[in-house]
Amino acid sequence: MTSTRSGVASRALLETLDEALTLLGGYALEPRQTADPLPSLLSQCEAFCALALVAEPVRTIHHMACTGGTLISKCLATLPNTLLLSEINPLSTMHVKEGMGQFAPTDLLLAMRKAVRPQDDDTLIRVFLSSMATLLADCSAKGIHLVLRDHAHSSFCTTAAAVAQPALHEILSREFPRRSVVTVRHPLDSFLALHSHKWSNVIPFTLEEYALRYEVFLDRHIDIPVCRYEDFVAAPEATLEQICSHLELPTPPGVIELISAVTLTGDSGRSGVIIEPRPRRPIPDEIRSSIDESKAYRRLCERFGYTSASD
Amino acid sequence: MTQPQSGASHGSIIHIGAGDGAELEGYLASRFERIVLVEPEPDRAAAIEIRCANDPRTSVIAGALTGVDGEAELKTYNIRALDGLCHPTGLQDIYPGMRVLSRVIVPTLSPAALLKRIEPLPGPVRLVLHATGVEADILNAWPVGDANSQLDSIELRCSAARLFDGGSDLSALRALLQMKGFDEISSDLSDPDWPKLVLRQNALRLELDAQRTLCAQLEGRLAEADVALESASSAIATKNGRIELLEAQLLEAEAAQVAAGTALTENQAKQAELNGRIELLESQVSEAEAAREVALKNTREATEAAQVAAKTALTEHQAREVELNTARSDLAVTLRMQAMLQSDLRDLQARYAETLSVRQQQEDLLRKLTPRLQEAAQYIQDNSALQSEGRGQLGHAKPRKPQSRKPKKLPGAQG
Repeated sequence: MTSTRSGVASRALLETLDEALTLLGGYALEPRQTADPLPSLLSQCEAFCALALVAEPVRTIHHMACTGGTLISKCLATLPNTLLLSEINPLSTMHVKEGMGQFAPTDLLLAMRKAVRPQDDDTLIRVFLSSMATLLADCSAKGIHLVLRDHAHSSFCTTAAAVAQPALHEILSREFPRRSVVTVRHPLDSFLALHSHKWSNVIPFTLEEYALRYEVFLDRHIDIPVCRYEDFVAAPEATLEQICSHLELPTPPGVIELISAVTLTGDSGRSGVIIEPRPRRPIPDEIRSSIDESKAYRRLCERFGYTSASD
Repeated sequence: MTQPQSGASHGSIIHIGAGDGAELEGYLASRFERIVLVEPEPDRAAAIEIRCANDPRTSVIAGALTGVDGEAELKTYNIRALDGLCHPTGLQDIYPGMRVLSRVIVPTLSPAALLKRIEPLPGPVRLVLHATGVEADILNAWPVGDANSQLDSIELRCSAARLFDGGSDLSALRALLQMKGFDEISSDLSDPDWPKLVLRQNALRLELDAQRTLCAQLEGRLAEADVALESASSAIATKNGRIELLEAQLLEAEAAQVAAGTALTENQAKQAELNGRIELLESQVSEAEAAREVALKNTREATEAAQVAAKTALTEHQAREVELNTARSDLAVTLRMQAMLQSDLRDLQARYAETLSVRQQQEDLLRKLTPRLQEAAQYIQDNSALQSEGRGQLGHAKPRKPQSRKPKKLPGAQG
């Protein structure tokens, strides 16, 4: 019996080898050429197969509003063969208007929300992921790197229900390999910018509440590398290279000079083509008085090495 | 007792300082038509009034006659004849035992007030003046020029020396009365300290004095008139000179007028000529203005047309500027986009080169792998054949030869 079983196995192996040789028919060595030992060749084959199995990741960048995220995203958008989609959040409802009528013929997710029988978040997420799969495969086939700029403001600076929903990077991680970066800015500067734009979605609109929301955002992105906006404006090329290293993107020289050709949504910052540090906005009295009182604000400053003093 | 002169009106008597009325009986027995008694001491005045109450001719006035109306202090002495208003000075040397019995405020009358109270007063009027120390005041204040006040005679009892403060002595009173036109008729010096004088009005001398006064006034007025006359003469002379001057000027003016008339005639002729020229020039000016208006209108139209053209040109220029700026902006964007596309292309070329390299490595690997797999297959086949011989005779399997198939060569691939 043993000889019969081994004979069957040998025949099966022989058939497999015959098939392999049929496939490799065109790669026969000329006579008198020597080849490496078989185990070494097999390990080399395995190494090539391992490389082929690595799928192109989706890249994401995450930041709170008014923290310089648009500027950094513009730089990413100028990278070669990079497709950056700005302010993406499949579960955001900030753009949804009251009532039934809202013309958006290309927005499938909005139509699903506004339908007579509106779809739940799970369905929206599956539709989104399905779209992302197609887009990612298409970009990969064309050699394009896909980068999604998260609209974190929708998740962390509106309602408590929005905070409880899955964030963009958590949704994408369900099905795709991901490379991500978080950018931050001094919380007082970003809060002053929110105040100047009157974007008071945070309720109550106080420095303490804003700092608490900021902490929640950072805790939900705890495993993602962080880059400071202040470091970027001080040394744009070097910092961009670090960010691209995290995201596995190429950084040829001179890309920053091309950002004036890029327009993105959410560009709320002060205008100008030169990347350089800007002076702090004037501090209203009602905000200045709350600086020393906010514990969350002081924790936030300590977390990233910022000074909590107003000057 | 004094009596009016016979043959005349009985007249009136005014006794100033009647005292205890020692003369009253005589007065009442007289034919005076009017008897006026003035006594400052109230009790004495009352007593006198009682005594003459039945005589309608009498009037008793309780008061002191002085130069002015008012009040004064009357001092009564232990020598009643010395009662008076004035403060005694040398009197006490004569009467060392003199002392004041009482002091009483009494009303005072001026002579004018007294005369007004007692008028009418039939003349001639005799004044008996026993008012120690105030005789001069009374005489100086006595009105003159009035028939009712005209005194015919005066009986004066006064002190020979000045014995009262403010009073006068006999000599002064004599001089005063003489100045007023009274001649001294008689004097009683039996009491050397208290002489009595009787004086009568010298009407002629009074008249003479009045005339002299009048003459002096007239002479003054004459002198003033002479001065005025002289001044007027001087003014007349000045005016005559002025008149002569004006007459000369008038002659000159008349001559000038004649000349002016001649000149006027000439000027009128010239003016007529000038008017003719003016009319001619005005017509020329009108023509010139019409021509100017036409030229202005043409210029204005040309200017407006030029402005419109300039505005149009400016608008076109601005539009071209906008187009140019838009084109510059588009060009800048295009250049940047081109730079981005070039960057994309270089990245793709690099990745393609890397892909070709990987593929070449894979082909090399496969070429190396194939003979090894052939050897393995041959080994297995031989093993199988040996195993088969152990069970029965099987034919030798022929060694396998790979099917030749030329691999596709990529452009630029090595090997």
